[in-house]
Amino acid sequence: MCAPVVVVGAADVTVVDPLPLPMLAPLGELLATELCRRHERRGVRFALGRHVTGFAGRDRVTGVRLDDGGTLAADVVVESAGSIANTAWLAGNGLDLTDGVLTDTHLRVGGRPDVVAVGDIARFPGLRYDGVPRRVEHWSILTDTARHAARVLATHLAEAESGARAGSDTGVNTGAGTGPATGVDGDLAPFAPLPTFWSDQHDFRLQSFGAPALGTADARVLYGEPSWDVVVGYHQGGQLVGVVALGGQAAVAAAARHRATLLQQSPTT
Amino acid sequence: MKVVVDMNTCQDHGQCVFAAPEVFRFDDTGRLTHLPNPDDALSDAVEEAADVCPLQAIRSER
Repeated sequence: MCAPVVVVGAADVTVVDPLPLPMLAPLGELLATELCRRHERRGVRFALGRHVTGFAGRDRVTGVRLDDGGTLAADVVVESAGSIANTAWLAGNGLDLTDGVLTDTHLRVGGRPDVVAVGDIARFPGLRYDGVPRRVEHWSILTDTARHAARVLATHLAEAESGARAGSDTGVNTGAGTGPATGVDGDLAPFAPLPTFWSDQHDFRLQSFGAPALGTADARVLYGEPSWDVVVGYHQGGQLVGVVALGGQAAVAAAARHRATLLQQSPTT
Repeated sequence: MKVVVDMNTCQDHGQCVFAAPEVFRFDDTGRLTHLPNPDDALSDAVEEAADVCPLQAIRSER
């Protein structure tokens, strides 16, 4: 991700990004170039393919030193270095904590039926695409994981309860109970949310559905044109895997029209 | 049931539209519009819409 642009009455903003274009991985070259252009038209400068090697100044920052030997003067520096999951407190429980907490396809951890991980520390298999477990740091993952995890726990508890009731019967089983126990794995579809993220920048919005990063090699303009309102579709093996809108409400609405297609991709269970 | 959206807070993200398209939709100008008194049968969908709103701009009551 590119470093964020801070517009709080700042007279002069420069974004330093080690990538050749901001947000190149999720957007691909076409949209990343257009995004960069829109910021530049609004007076933002970019130092691309560069990274910060140190800070200048004594009592307060006066600038940042770059890897090409140059220095950018600065009164305020905003550092956006990404994040790592806070899971150290879970050590010693036999969980996979290599990056967040590894879960199964129902957000359960450590092979337990009664413990789930939610939010952006949950590293769950990406069933909709390649099955590889990943953490997702976008806003919607909170409600998406919480909703599924609650169902998992409720289903498990109901099953455990009916199992306990059946087990406590003495003598003949009258068959008046709830029938054969149906568990999480039998009853619930595995967790396969449609990824989405958005970003409001200046007076335009960036809105994504699906996994555009998987289809940047085959990116096509589906609506509008890059310099105004545009929707780009990303394809993998000829199939649409993600859409990104850049612009105003018309672009966002156009992207949303592809959501149904993206949802139809059946999870690789 | 009654649905109220704080239109000063709403930023037309449309997550509510995805969650409860029978109740929420975008008008011709791209602004959110909704049924003020949807059927109680839609309460689950409305509750989900309220949960997924990034601005938490939706309130509902029976």
